[in-house]
Amino acid sequence: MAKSDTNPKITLSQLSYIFIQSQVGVDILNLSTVLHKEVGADGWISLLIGGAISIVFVLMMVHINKCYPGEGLFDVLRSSFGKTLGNVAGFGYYVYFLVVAIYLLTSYGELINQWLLPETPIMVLYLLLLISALYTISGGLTVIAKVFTFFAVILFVISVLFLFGFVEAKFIYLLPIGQASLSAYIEGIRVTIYSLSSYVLLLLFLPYTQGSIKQKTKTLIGTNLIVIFFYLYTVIVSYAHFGSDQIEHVSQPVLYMLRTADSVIITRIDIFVLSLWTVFAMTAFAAYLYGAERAFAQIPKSKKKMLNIYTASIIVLAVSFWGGLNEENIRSIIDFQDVITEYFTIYIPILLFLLSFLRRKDKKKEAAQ
Amino acid sequence: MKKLTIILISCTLILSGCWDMREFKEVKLGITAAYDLTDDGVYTNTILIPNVQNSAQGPGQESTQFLTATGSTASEARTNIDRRLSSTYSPAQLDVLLFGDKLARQDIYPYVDAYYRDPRMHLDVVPVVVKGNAEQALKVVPKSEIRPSEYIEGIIESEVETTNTLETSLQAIGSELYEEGEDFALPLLQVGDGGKTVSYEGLALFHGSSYTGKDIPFGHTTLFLLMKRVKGKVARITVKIFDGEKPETNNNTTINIEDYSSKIKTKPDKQNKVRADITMDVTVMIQEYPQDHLSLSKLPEVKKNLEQALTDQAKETIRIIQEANSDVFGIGRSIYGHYPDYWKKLDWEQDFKNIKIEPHIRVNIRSRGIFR
Repeated sequence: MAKSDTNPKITLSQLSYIFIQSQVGVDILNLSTVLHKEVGADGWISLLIGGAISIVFVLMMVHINKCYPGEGLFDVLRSSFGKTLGNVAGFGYYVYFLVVAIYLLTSYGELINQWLLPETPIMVLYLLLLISALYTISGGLTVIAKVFTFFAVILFVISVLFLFGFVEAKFIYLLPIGQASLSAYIEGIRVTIYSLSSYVLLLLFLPYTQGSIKQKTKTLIGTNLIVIFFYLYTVIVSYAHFGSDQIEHVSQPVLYMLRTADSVIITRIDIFVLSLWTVFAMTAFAAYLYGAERAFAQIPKSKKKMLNIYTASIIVLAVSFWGGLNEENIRSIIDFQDVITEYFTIYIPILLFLLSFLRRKDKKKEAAQ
Repeated sequence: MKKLTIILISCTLILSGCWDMREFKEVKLGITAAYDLTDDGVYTNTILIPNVQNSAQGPGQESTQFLTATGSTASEARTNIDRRLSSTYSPAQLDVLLFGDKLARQDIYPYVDAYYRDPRMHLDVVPVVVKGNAEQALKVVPKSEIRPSEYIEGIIESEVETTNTLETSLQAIGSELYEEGEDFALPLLQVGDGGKTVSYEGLALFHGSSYTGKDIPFGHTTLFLLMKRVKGKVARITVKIFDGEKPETNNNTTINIEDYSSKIKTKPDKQNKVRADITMDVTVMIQEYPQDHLSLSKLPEVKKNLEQALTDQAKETIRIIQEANSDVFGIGRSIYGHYPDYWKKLDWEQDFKNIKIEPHIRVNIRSRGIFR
C-alpha cells in the first residue's frame, strides 16, 4: 500500500483508457433518449457542439496542470483559492464525487433490476458492484490504470454489437434537421457536457502521467474524440431505429433495439450487452469513488487510506439503498446532482483556468525581480 | 490456510444460488397465441402449447394443447390460462400472435403493450391478422404436419421467401406504430377448406394501430413489396399481357424477378398537395409463357405489355392503399423529413387519400429460358 503513494507513474495510453472508462458510464445507454427529449431529431447536432465544448474543457484541464506542475486537484484548489477556501472547495468536490458515485450505483441497480434480475435483492447488486470497485481502487493508481486498460476492449465489442441496430433502421428518421429552438439546443449541449464531464477527474490523474504536456494534450483530445464519436454512433443508431415518437417511450434505446437482434450464438443480445455494460458501470463508479477517496484524504490528513475508502463506500451504499428502487428518491438524487454538477464541472474549472493565468503573471514577475 | 478457508466460505455464499433462476420444467411455453374479441366485446386469448414426448428414436411425437380464457386485459386472460396449468404459463417464447379481424379493427396496441413493456418477452413475435376468428385458425392442425405447433409460422416463413409478405415482428412495426405519417401492413390469414387448412390471403393494411379492413390481395403483394424494397429469395409475378387469345391461359405470363431497383421520390405539388413518384426497374426472366413461340422479334411487344400490366397492377394497389388511408410507403414521414414547413400545412389524415402517387415501371427481359 505504501508503494502506491510514492508518486506512481501511469503511461499515456493508460491515461487515455482511464479517461474513456470514467466517461462511458450510464449515459451510453440513455443519452439518445435524453437528447431526443430535449432537442428532438437534432439531438446529434447538439451532441457534436457539446462534444466540441468538452474538448475545450479538457484543454483547460491540461493548461491548469501545466501551471501547477505535480499538483493534484486538491493541491490546485488550495493554491488557487487559498487554504480555507481551497479546503471548502475540496470538500465540495468530495460531495460531488460521492453524489455521482451514488447516481451511478442507483442507475446500475435500477437497470439490472428492470432488465435482468428482478428478484435479486437490490443490496446484493449494489454490493457486487461495490466490492469489485473497491478491489480495483485498493491497489492504487497503477492497478486502476491496468484494470481500466484491460477492460477497454469491451467498448469495441459493444460497438460491433450495436451494428445489429441498423438492421431495421430508417435514416429518414434523422430528418428534418434544424427544427429545434435555440433554447432546446442549449439544453441538449448542457446534457452532453454533463455526460462528458469526467474531465474533472483528469486533474487527479494528469500529474502522475508520464510524457510532455504536448503529448498529453494530443492523447486526451484523441480520447475525447473517440468517446464523442462513440456517443454519436449510439445516438444515430437509436434515432434511425426508433423514429421520433417511439424513442421517447424507451429509456434505454441502445439495449431495446437489440431485443430482436438474433445471432447464431447469442439469442438475446440485449442481455449480453447489458452484462458487458456492467463493466463500464463498475469502472466509472470506481473512478468517482477513487476521486472521493482522494478528496477525503486531503481533509483530515488521514494516513489510513483504506479507511477513507470504506467511509466513502458506506456513505454511497447507504444513500443508494435509501434511493433504492423508489423512482421518486432516485429523481431527487438526480435533481441534486444536476444542480451541483453545474458548479463543479463548469464554473469551478473555468475559475481555476482564469486564476491560473494570474498565477503565471505572478511567476513571471517573480522571475523578473 | 485460514485465509483460504475464508475465501472458500465467502465463495460458497456469493456464488451459490440465484434469485432469478427460472427452470424450464416449471414453465409452459406458448408458441402461438390468438387474440379475439367476442360479440359482447370481451377479449379472448387462446394459446397453443406444444408438448413433446420422448421416444426411443427420431424426434418425439408432438401433441398440442389448446387453452382459451377470457379477461378484460391481456394479462388477466393470461392469469386465467395459468389457473388451468400445472406449471406457469410463459409467453416469452411466442413466435406468432394472431389477431381476429374484429379485434384488429378496434386497436391492437392495448394487447401488445405488455410485449413492449416486459424485458422478458421476446419482441420477435410475428403479428398476423386472421379474417374471422383467430382462435379457429389456431386450432387448425393438419395431420400431415410433423410439428403442428409450427404450422402457421411455417406458412408465414415460406411466404416471406417468395416475396408475398414481409418479414415483420413487433419490434419492426414498433416505430411505425408510433410515427406519424407512416403505417404498416401485416400478413393476413384465413381458414379455408372447411376448417382443414389456413391460407395466406395478402397483406392487411393498418392505419395508426388499427386494421383498416382493406387489404392488398394475394396476387398484388409481390409487386407491392418490391416497391417497398423488400425481396425474399424468389419473386414471381403472374400478369395478363394479352387480350382475346384462346384458351384464356394464353393471355398470361409468369415472370421471375432477378434484379430490381426501386425508388420513391416525394415532393410538394400544387395540384394534389403531394406527389410521389415510384420508379422501379426490374430485370426479369420469362418463366412461363403458355402461348409458346416466344421469338426475339416478339420480345419488344411482350416487354411493352408487361410494363403496362405491371403499372396497372401498381396503380390498383395504390388505389387500395389510398382508400384504406394507410401510408405504408411512409410518404408523409418523407415529406416531414424533407419539407418540415410544408408538412405543418398538411392534414395528413385527410390529404393522403388525395395525393398523387405515380408508378413508373421499366422492364428489362434478360432471358427467355432454355426453350424457345
